[in-house]
Amino acid sequence: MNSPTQQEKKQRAFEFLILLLLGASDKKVSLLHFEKEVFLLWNFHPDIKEFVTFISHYRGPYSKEIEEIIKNPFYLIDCWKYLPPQRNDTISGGFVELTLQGREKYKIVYADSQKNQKMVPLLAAFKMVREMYDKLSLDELLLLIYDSYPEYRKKSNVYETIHKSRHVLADKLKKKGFIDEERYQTLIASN
Amino acid sequence: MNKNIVADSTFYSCCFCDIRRSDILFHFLSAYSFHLGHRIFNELPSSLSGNQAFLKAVTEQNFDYYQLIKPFFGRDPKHMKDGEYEAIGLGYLLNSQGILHILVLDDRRPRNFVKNHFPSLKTKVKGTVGLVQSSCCDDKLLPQKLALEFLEAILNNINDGEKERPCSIDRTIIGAILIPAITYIRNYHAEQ
Repeated sequence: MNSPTQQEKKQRAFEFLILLLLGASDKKVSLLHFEKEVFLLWNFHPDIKEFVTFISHYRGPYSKEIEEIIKNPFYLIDCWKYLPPQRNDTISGGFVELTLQGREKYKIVYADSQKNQKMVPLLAAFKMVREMYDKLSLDELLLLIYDSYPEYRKKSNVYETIHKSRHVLADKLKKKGFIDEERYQTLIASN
Repeated sequence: MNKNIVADSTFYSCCFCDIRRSDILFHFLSAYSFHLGHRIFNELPSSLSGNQAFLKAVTEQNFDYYQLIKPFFGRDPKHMKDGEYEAIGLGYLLNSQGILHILVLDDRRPRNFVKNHFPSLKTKVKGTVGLVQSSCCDDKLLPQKLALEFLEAILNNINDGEKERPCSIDRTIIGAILIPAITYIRNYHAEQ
């Protein structure tokens, strides 16, 4: 049997990272949320840059690699389930959640990863982004992302709509206690 | 093994610059394990960040935690170097391993952020005054004499007008936090 190529090793390792991020919360997550969470991790940890690239696309930072792995994993078969978006849902990109088999696999991989000192900060970061961003609505998430990374507004087909709704969305974020007055003011400014 | 503390730069600056009690700072550093990264380091006076004994006493971990929370604070460059976000990230990291004892945040903005986003971290957050009280009365790692000298030095510092907000404490919160902590420590030890 041939030994795996670098590309195959990379693909396998990335699928395991995807598993660890999916398992960092018990809840299902939209593809939009998941992709933006990987994007933040991509900015945070140099190792993530090895696996994935982001481009400006219809709904902000987009990664073909993530979408392909979520929809068609090669190594971790049946560990997660992709649920396509409903007909009237044009933003979420669908949802993904771990299966029972995936949850079991996650426990094993998480326990192994915790023994690796290099992985420990990343595991915490996975939990941190899931805890912070999963609770945002799709529109709230996009408002924060477009405002923080204006270079990813290019090619977007939802930016104008989000921008027009910024007062309402920023109000909601503030009422829920997710942002403070200073951030509220920057979000409603018309830049 | 020492208990783990993550503190924003205000704690170190309070000890070292505001009340000038590096002896108490080093007492803390020997009683607990303090964790910090380069953003907090950069906010410290060079006489402290370059101090070999200090460097030996602390644990350094460097990750760009601001990148994880940037959407909630925006892209204003003034925030990118803030040590408080690094403190939150390091606090979260240690807490997720079940080994965080206290996260010291003196400014309101990061404290509110933790309160609103990370319920599991909320109970670990204290200000510098809270750390002194807890270290003295709960952990019993800071002698009463040093604890009272520390807090009274902050009080004198404010009253003398020497520094406007030592440890981010101003006149409005003297009565709410500082005096009650001094009273608590005095009474606690009187009752023992």
